[in-house]
Amino acid sequence: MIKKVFKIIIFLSIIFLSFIVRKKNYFDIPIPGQSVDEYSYSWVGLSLIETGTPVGISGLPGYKNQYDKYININRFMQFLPSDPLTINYPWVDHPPLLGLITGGYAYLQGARVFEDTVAVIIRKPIILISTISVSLLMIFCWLNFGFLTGILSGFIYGTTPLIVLSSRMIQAENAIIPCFLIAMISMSLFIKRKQDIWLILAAIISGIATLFKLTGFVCYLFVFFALLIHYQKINKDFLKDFGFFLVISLPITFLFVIYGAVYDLEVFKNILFSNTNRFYGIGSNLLLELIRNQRLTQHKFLPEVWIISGWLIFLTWIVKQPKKITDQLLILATLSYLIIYVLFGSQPYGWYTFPFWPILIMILSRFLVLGIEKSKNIVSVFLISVMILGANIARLMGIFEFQPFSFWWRLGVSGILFILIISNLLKLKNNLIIKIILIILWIALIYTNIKYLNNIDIAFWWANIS
Amino acid sequence: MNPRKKILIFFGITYLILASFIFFGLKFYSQKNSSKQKIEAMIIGESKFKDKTTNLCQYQILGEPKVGKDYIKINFWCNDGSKARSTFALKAFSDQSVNGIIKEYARIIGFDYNIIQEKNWVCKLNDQEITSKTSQNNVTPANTIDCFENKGTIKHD
Repeated sequence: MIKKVFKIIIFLSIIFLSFIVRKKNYFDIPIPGQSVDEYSYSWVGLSLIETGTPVGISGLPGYKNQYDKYININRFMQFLPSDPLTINYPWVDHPPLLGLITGGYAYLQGARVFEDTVAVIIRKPIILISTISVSLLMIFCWLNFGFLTGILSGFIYGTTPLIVLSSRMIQAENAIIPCFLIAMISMSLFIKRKQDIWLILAAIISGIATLFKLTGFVCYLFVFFALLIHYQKINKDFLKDFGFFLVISLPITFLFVIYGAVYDLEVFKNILFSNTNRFYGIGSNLLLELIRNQRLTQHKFLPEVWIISGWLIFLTWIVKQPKKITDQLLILATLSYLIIYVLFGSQPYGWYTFPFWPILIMILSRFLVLGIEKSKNIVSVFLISVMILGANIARLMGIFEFQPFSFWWRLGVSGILFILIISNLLKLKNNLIIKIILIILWIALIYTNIKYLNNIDIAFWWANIS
Repeated sequence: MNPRKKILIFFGITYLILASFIFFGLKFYSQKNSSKQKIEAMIIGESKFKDKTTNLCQYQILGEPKVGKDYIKINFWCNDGSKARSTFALKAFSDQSVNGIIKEYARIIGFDYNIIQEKNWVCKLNDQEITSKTSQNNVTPANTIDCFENKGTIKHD
């Protein structure tokens, strides 16, 4: 009982920590206006509530009503080169659910005109949503891989700087992530327990995910793959379950068409087709860019070694093909979103890649914890941990400031590596010292994450994040 | 009855009610509340959360719009040597008279338009002083409006 209470306290503490780091400077960083979509989503919700007509930024061909206006919220145009914003209505670029959440919250806070949707108001709901994502990610890992993986993944996803910054942005992907995670939890439970309630929950949440943005179809793909891996073939049971899933999820997605029909089905159709013809700016090197460069917006890069490490482990998993179905679910989740990313991709906006990150962090955490629990791949676990720690330290101090510590770094890393190789060759397991070293390393990793986050203010943003 | 069938019937009924509510409810609500004027007022309405500045050289708009020659430059020059220089796409101004443009500029930047008269600012269109008569004239593309804190203020870099 005490053990359980202790675990719950740790679980809640990680959620609290994740919320705190997301909340700090949330209205300043990322600089409001670097993605005007954040405003546009809120305007859609606000206008829908006030007038019953969604109004937002688009510029896609096919709209009948257009305004070109300077709307200088938070005076962002003082700092960012700005063209007039192309505003269209009835805006049907995407479904309106995210807009209703952020715009609805702004309305409750007294916003009545577009300029009222300031970052300090509209970003609040998304911080809450992304904190919920942290808890869902921990629940998935706890249920499927154990408590240690749960808390490690929570600590990493909750504090990794790029993820924290990205989760302050009003982008549909930040709302799709919790839906995707709920679908993953539901499917893992459905496979384990064979209770329809989990399939129904997966279906409802998959439908809802597409009401944030059509890339929410990733949940459909994931459920399809999860059932396929469960049944191992397309048999009667598979068809029965997937059919049942579709009968519930598809009508929910169809609500977007009903919504479009309220205004103008012709415009709705035009915009849908305009979306399919978008410029494919992610280009043919999208896979390399995906692994090598992490972005917040189109032009703001913040390479994150946590995520790069996640990709590396993912690739090794694909090669080794893990046998446990729960591990396979993580691979399938990544592949599902990869299909969506390649298919729906247009400009290399950073937010298109956000849904990869929780899954990659889960893969990474699983890999690290297997190292400590079962002494699996202990040398690689150490190398990955040191690689991330090194990158985190390099972000905190320059190469010259690092020199006083270089002796200890050289000696420590090479020495531990030497011992690890020996113990690996001699097949020594349950080496307590190595476990303690790894846990100290991980604590240092989380500490350096938080330390770096604490450094990020407006001045730091302009000077260091290119 | 098969439990899945029961669930689907319940879901189907709930869905039909929800979908009808969305379609008819939204259509009715939109017809009742939506108008061009209301939408425009919402788009360009002034925020109650935005602090209005009295220093007209404090804020400007960064960057050059990608509109060829279809722009207007607006510069404010202050006595203390500060300035605010902005370039706008002309298409963003529905009222393209000199007055209309300065009024819209005041909305975008966030200051009270009347401050220009109250504090005796001197405004010029292409170096010609703007009078109450010429303020009603429309500007043409690539024009420049300069406003000086007082008559003695000069353009400075």
